[in-house]
Amino acid sequence: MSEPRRSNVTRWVALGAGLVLVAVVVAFATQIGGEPAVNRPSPLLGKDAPAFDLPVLDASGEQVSLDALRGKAVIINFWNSWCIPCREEEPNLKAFYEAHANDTDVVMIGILRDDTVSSGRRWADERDLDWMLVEDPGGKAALAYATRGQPETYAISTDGVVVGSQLGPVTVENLEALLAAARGTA
Amino acid sequence: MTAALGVLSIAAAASACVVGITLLGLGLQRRDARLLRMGRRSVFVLLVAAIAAVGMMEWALVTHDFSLDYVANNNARATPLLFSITGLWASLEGSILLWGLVLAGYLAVTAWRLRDRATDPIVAWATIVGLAVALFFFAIMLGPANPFQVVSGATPADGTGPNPLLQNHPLMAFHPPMLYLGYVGFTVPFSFAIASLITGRLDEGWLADTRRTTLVAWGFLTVGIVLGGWWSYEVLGWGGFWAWDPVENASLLPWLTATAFIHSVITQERRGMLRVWNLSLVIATFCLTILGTFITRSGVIDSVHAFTQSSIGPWFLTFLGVSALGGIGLIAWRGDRLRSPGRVDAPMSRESAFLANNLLFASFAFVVLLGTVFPLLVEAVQGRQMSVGRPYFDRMTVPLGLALLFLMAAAPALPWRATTGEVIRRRLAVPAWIGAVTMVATVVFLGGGPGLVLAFGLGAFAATGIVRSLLVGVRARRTATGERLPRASWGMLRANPRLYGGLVVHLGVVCIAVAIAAFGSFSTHSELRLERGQSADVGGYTVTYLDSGVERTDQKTTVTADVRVERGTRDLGVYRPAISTFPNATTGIGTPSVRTGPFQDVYLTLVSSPTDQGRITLGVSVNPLVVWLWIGGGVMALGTALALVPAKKTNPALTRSPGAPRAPAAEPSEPERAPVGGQA
Amino acid sequence: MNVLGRRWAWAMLGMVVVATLAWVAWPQDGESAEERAHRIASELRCVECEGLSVADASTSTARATRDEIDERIEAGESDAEIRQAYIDRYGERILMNPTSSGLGVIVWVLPVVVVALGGAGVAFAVRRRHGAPRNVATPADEALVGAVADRSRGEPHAASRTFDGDPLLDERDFLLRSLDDLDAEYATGEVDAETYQVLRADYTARAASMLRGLAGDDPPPDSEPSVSWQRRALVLGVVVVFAGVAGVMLAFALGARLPGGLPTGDDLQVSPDEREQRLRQAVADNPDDPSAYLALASFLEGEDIVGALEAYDTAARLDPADPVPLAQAGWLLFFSATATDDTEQRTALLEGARERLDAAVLADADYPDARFYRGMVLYRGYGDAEAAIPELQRFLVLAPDHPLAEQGRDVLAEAVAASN
Repeated sequence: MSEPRRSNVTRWVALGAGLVLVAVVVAFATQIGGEPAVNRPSPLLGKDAPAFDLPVLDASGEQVSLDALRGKAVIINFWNSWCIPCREEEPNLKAFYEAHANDTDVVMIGILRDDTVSSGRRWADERDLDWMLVEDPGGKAALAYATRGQPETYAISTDGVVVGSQLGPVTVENLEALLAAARGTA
Repeated sequence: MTAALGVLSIAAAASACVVGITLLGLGLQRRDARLLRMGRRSVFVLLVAAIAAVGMMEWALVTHDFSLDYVANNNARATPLLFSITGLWASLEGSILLWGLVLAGYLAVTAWRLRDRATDPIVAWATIVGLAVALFFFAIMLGPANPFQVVSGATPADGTGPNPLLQNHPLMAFHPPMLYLGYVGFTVPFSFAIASLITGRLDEGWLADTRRTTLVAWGFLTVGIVLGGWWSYEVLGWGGFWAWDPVENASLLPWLTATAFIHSVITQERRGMLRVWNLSLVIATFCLTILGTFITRSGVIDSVHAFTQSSIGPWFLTFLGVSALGGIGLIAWRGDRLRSPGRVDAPMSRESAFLANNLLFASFAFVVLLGTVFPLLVEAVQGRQMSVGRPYFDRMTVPLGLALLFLMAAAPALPWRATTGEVIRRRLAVPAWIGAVTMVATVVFLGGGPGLVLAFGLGAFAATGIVRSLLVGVRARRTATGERLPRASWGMLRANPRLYGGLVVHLGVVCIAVAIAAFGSFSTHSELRLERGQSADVGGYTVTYLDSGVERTDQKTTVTADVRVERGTRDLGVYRPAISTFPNATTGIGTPSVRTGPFQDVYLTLVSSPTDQGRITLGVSVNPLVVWLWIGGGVMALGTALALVPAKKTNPALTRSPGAPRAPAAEPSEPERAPVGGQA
Repeated sequence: MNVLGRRWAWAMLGMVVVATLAWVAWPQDGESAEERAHRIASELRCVECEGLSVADASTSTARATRDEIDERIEAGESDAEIRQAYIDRYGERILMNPTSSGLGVIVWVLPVVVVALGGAGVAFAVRRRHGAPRNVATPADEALVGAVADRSRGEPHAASRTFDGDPLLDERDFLLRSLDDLDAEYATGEVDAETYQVLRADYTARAASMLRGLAGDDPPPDSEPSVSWQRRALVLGVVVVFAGVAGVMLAFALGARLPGGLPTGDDLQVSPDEREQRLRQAVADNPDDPSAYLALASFLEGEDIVGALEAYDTAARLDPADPVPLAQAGWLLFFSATATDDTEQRTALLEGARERLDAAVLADADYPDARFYRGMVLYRGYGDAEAAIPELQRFLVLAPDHPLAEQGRDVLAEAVAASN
């Protein structure tokens, strides 16, 4: 009789579809509650920090080059004048800078990202941001560091390797942890 | 107070579902007509409770009642009235509430329409399934997704307002409700399919019962998707209308299976075939709507639509699993009874065309589904992150789309059962030649790749075929009844609204296909650096940067640029693209300004605000035929409405009598006939 | 137009279509640099946006990336090199298209397989039935069917409300209904005379045999011609193989890398970066395999001490019984300690070194390297010559021909002299 044969086909197909469905649902289930994108670590972690040679923001004509800072623990902070999380972290950056102002092995650099130079300058003057501030013509450094937004902070070890990163506003504890990683004392 | 009433309404709704399911279940078991009728009435109680809950929420939104978490997060004192009202669907909890209301509405309408068949087991089972789905949604609102959650601590003085992206265009008022009217509507045919499987009554009755609902839901979903594309183009500012974003795909997937379904049911009605296909398609459509909600709301896949990440993910996943496995299980259980008595008599027949149609749509849906969930699966299995983007989808779906276009053109010309070359030649020769000539003309005058040439050629083929069918039908009717043209047209439509409404929908599809092809091949994009007063020539237009302005509010800072667009000597007006920066966003959000023309759009974006030297970077795109996307969508909506016109019994002069000689000159239009099975 | 003329017309139509398509599909002249830049940009994802390519996005990073792509094209880099540069920087998820080895291929191949299988299924179903010999209705058949139909003409077939779902009854009623429908369609001209005759005979014969079967005269017929399962399996196998090959070719054409394959167009030298990437990939692919971490760690020792230490520690964690990662980590820490001037840091590093070396010796007392390292740490690090001597001696006993044996002897001599 042909009926059982047809129903067999339907049943086999249904069984197969059911198994595939179960597998897919299980796969989905394992992904619920996963880390949102913003917490994923920087892809540069563990790699050599990209070199840069950028002009200082205050138009004095000086250049800051990463190569010249070999041997020091470098904290790089991408910021600008209009993003609110940048403003949130500003007092933390200031406190951190003051705490380590006399440490010769620590360098803190702020790189302006996605902003006009005049706005950045104006902001830095108004707010007394004393650490080294540079501009990033063409957004090349932001690109080289695979930044995903701002503020974004990187820690570079004494031998030029990216050892830490954070997307979003940093607290003083975060900064100290980044510094420890950069110094190699983590 | 509002919160308490709201929660009470939701609880009442959920209780109505439980009571209804219990009564109907008992009534079925004991074959007690009275219980069945009582159970049916719970659907109306559900509707009243849902309306009450929505009413409470809207009241809270309009009166800016910030003691509710939802209102505090999606509304502010400064929010205009329209966006307060549309705040109902601004984020998760409210969307679920809207879903519940729409579902209650559909269930109530169905219950009322079938009021004479309250004791029919199929109707009872379908109501049970419908109530079970409603119970899920209302139960979720009593738990993880409570829209009436009260703010913990002090009532804030002001809310944070809706997401800015959702506020700057009144279109936001229509896009989600249209989509929901579409999605939720498919619950009705789904419930009837399950009912028919459970009761073992696998003939065509359930199709007839749900035909109109399915078409209405499909129409709304189509409009919702087209509106989404319009929003993407006009508001999001990235220059396109479809990015194969996971949430966009989530709305497209049920549309694909639903389109296959509404075509395939015709085959089951006429010839009793493709039963397993139809049951599978409608179950798949329902499951895909649940999957879509899961993808959109659980944060599992990164997407521009993923505004919130919430804890309802596991619930939806479980519901999806239960529905899908239940459907599959039922089909497997009834496998022996699903064998159709009809079979395909010839490879060149409308039956095989519909079978091919099902295959193509199913494959299309498979490709979209695979591409959307594949990154998720890879991450689950290997922990790696991989992405599937636009190039993949474009590459895989274009051939399927072109094949569907061809089928759309050729299939209506194929008769049922079998055909000869003579019939096909008569019906398709002229359209085919026009299609071929269009292909050659496209190559000669426009250039472009094989995709474009095929799209234009097939579009011409299809359009000519449709126009021909319409003309022939009108002429046949006029010959038979002697009516004037307008009356004959309307009469022809009334005689067979599904056919002619469907042809109009196909015309809309042709518009959209041609527009998509033209956009893909001929749109141009340039970035210009302009100083104040400077002009540039792009694609035959002259754009002049006039001035810029800055607008600061508490919520955002907006930089605008005034740009004049001229074509030759004709001034087309001043347009104002903008960039807005929001407090918590890490990048600016652009707003385009579009000059819409019948054949070309000029699409302006402000790429970067004025530099220190006062220069802006202006993005200028010239996009061909974009307006025909929206027109095509409108035509599809019109066609759907025409297809819903109630059929009128034909003029007796047209009724065939067996044995009467054929009228040689008259082209047969589809004769009015009762669907197979004797159901009205 | 006669039949031949019509055939020629269709043939010409077909030729026009094919010729046009061939014309446009013919490979054109190469794309301009601008087009090439746009194409490459459309294959890269914009990291700040969701779902947009670098070509479509308007963020500052996207613009900077487009500028960078232009520069790279001018510098003469190939498409694959440019893509790889971004993969190196961001990881694989920067690509819009899944192109990597392993699972990525599935997403290209599977749709082709599914469509091919589905198409084959449909064609199979349609053709098989068409190829079945048409039933011919005998006069007896006609009479039998005619009697039934006449009796119930004018009423809706009672079976239209049959809810008991007996498939045989369904089929009988369906065939009778189909006869009526066929007559109606013939009357309106939808079906031509030849087809009408053939189908009518078919339906009548089938209905008649159904009726006989139901009346018990004959056994009910097989309504579907049977096909041997061998034939089915063969066809299925051919389709799957064909589709698989087509899918693989499609994947190749679109730049996918197949397992073990190389990106097309690249040269074959293994740069250190690539080697590192492979090692990291191995670690990612085998997160529970300590040897993958060991390999990565040895590679990283020269340049990325932090990374190497991490990897060693992970390997040690995965296999606590293995002295090698512990010993190597200890040595690295000692090495770092000697390189630093900060006393605090030095102490900490030495502590870490000693801890690990103690653990290494515990794990395997006869592992010579651990003994040597521990001796060095004790003597050079802590200045404890007395404790160092037995370690170094043990080392030399265990492995007198070790590459470090020479150094071991020297240090031992020194320590002995110092302790006296």
